[in-house]
Amino acid sequence: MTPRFVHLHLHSEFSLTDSTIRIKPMVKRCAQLGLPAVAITDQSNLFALVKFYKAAEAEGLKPIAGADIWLADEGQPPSRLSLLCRNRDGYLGLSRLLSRAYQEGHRGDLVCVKPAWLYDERSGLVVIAGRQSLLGQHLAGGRNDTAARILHDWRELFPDALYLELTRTGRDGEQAFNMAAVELADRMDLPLLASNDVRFLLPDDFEAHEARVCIASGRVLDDPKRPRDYSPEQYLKSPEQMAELFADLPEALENTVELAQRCNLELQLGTYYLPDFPVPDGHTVHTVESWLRAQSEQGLAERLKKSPVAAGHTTESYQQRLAIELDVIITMGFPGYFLIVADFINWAKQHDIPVGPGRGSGAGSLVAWALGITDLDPLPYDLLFERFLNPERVSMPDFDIDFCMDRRDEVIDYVAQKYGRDRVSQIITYGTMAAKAVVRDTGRILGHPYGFVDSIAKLIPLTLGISLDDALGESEAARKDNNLASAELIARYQSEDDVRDLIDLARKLEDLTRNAGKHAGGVVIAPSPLTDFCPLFCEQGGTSPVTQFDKDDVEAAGLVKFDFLGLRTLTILDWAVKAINAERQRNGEAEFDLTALPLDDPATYALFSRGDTVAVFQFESRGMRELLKRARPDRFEDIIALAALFRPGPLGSGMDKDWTARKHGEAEVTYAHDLGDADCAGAGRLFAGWRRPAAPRDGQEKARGNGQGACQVRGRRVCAQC
Amino acid sequence: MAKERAKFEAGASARNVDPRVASGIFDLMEKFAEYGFNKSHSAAYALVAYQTAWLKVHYPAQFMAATLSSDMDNTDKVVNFLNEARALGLAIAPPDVNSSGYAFAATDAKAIRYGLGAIKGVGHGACIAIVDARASGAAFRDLPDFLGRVDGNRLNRRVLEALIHAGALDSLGSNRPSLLAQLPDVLRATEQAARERAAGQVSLFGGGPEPALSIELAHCEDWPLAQKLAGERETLGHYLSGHPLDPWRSELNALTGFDLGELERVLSQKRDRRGEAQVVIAGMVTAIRKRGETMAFVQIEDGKGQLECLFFRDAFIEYGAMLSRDRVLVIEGSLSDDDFSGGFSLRAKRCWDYRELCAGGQRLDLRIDLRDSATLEQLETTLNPHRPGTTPLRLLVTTTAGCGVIEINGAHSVRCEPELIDQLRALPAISEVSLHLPRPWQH
Repeated sequence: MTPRFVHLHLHSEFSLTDSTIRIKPMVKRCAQLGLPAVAITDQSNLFALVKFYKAAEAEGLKPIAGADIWLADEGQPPSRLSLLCRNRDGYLGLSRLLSRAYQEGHRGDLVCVKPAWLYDERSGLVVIAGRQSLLGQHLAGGRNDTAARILHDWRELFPDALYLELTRTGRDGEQAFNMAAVELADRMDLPLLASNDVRFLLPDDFEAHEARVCIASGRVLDDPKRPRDYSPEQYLKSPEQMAELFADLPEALENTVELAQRCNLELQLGTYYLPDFPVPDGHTVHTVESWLRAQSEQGLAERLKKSPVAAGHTTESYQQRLAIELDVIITMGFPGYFLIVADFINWAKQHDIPVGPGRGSGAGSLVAWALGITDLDPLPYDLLFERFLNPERVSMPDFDIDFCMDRRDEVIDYVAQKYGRDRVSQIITYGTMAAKAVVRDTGRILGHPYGFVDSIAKLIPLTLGISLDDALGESEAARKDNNLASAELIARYQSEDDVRDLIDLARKLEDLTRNAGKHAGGVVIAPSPLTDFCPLFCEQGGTSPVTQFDKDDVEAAGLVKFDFLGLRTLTILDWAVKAINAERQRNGEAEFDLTALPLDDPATYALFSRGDTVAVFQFESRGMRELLKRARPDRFEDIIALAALFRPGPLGSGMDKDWTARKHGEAEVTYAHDLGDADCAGAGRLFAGWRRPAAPRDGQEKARGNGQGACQVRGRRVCAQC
Repeated sequence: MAKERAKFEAGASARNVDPRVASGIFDLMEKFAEYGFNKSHSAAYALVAYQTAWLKVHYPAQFMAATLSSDMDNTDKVVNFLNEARALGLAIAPPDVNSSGYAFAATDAKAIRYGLGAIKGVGHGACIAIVDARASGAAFRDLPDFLGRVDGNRLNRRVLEALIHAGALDSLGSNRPSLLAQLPDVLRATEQAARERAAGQVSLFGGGPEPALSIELAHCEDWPLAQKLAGERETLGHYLSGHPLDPWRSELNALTGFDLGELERVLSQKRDRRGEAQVVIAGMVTAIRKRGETMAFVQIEDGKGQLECLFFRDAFIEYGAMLSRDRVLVIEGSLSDDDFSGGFSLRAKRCWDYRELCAGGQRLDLRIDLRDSATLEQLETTLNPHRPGTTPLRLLVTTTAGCGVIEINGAHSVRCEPELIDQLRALPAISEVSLHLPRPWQH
């Protein structure tokens, strides 16, 4: 029978300063070793939490959440402490503690938690004090009375939630601490906890781990004066090994299992928590739903005053579509989302901040156009609402919004002000050790001269996302694509020992998470303080905190994310229009309105057809210019089609040639099956029984008579409504 | 998609549709998935694309000025957009403290004024200070006037030197070396005046305007074009007033038949089955990157375009010594598309130094008006330092007696150098200079 043990003190690669443990392999290994549960207690952060939970559940392992913190009072040296979350309260408490540490507790390279804060957030947390805790420090200094008093205080503050951690990893001071801890535990009736302070997976990983620590701390491996804080014993030992190690203290092992059973945190992944949209003063008779309807209907009426209805449509058909969309939006619970987005976009427009016309699948929504979120009427181009929001596919709507580069931050600031600074933040992004960088870092810590390291790093091809396996020609991808492998690198790897050792070590460290920073575009708005959902991270001296979960995890945690991207072209358009209007004003002419530009100017299509598109957004590349010359677009649908065609998939299948041929009547348009005017999604519905939403849209289907620039390939008109 | 395919085919057979047809349709839908997916994403971006294109057609000056301004820090992009602006028929006015703002700006429908902010070493603060000072008075007259009016805290010596080299102060002095020479004295005088003002020293004449700083302004002879261009290269990232190759452009063009701005056309015309064209190009070396002992990547440009030339193995061994910055080379090789950069690249086969080609010139033709008696002596004075040489001359002369041809050869032949061509062109009596160069690749 497998001995009973659970590792409750373990760092993953997300500790950044140490650990070479990647989550999925670690969880798999635990399963292999017969461990029923495992905790990740990363250094001062919960970056790994969502990924950990998902991986653990996939392997049938119970995940336990926690973190290692630095505890320090004003003017005191920091000491370590491990915290585990027993329940949701504990998680929220830990989340608040860590966030506070990042915002108020920077100390050199560390972030520290003040004891007073910890005492305020006790509920649901378990404290584990080991050799490097405040207790351990006092014991090591011979201040036994102080140590006992501290332990006494902690026991009062954390009743039934305080453990003394014993490690036997061969590091200095362990034996002395263990002896004292056993004695104190006995005297004060406190439980002991066996742990292995795990930092890497297998015994062989010690050297790579030392290298990782050197990279993080800026040291050289061979430097005799560098701190050696880790021992080769700190790998993920099996329960049998732990049992043997603590044969004299079986209760320390048993307590790990018991504690693991007491820790039960459920993460509600997959539920969405939308912020509330405050209906404006003076209209509070409205609910959010009715306000959405009212605003949309009004907005549509105003839009239709300025823009003509699409061919084959009437005002009624527009209103019908609006009604259908509104029903879906309200049924799915998203009216607040739409109103929030509409609000900050319109704020931006009122403050002269250029906003993009709205990309992403949001462009397919008529409600979005009515509210001013997008600037493109979806109906003339048959853009699907279902691409954006489908009652049959439960997922968050996603508006990608482009703002002018310069002033994007002002919009974020407005949102923070409106919904509460503690409810709005940007999102973290992690930097990892990519091929070239990891070679350089490894070379440096191995003590090689710069020139040598540089010469090897330079041999790795510049391809984005390339791996060392690719460069060495050992990966699948490299076998298929000759450009990935570097002959020179392979030659040197095979002939020079130093190069081989360097690269082998680098390969072990490749792709480990290296640092954290702010993601370029994402912003989250939470319905209550963010720390209710996830902790926050903040760089030293930085002013704005970011979520500790990255953009995928933050969505899994249920937070609504908006992408505020900066688009340089919007800035260019803004400046050009301002210059034009300055001159017009001088000449007493009317102002020029870019949004009212008619989309049928022959001279503009002539420019496209000549391929004369340097400086024209999206159409600048040589390949695109060649395509333009062949395609000779003469209407707006053509521009949409060409922008969509110029992608590896469609180009690879020769779709661009077929499209061009069809457009110029050089080839016939035929239909695959006698579907008449049915479209791609329609074909799907017809054949496979994919259900179509609410009401039929016959008006639209009739309108699609000929090739209005719709998808046509090999004579088969398939995808007119995508 | 695989799951969807199964669903699709199952549904199709339930509706009695031939499974091959259903599968075929799904194949198309799968290929389409990426296109169809992109259509809604593309629609809004297509609108932005259309808007930029429309502006480029109808308001090219404002549009290109905005485009240039948005990428002011990126020299490669600035050069590219400047070329495009010129191709659109727009005139580019150089930076000028008396007319420029921080950013590029359209001065009318056909002209763009360079922005001061694009000058390396001149920051936003300095530009604003200059614009503000100009707004409150007349144009800057000279260096003392300029330094007296613009906030001294924003303009240190480095900034001023950058402005001079970029040509932004050309309207304040006779030429750039003079301005540089004047700097120390004017700076000193201005600082002193500022100190006196701060110390509250009032002019003896009280109440009236302060007497203008009276400084002796230094004057020097102007720099040769090459030096001016080098200064522009350093501060603007490229050559603005001209190009070092300008003096020899007609010779180079006669040699190769095209300039580097025409590579697209040349490649499409002469492309062989392998996608390459055998060409001879000419240009100046701007950068060299050596890889080990067997190859070098050389950046060649001529003011109209650029490309990367690869000298590999034999070519590297034979011509490696010629590959140094600022040399003008004539290179024979295979031209092809460079997928990596989106431009062009050349695999070099043979290479000649333009200087040496000149020295081997087959004949130097001059059209010269000898009706003024001093001209002949001027000509001899210009030619003598370049003798002895192997290039004969043919003079197409106009004299009081009529027109005729004079052949000069033998001991009076000259050693042709690019500078000699410059000097001959500078003589007022000479209206045409044409050097017949050998084409060694034709052997």
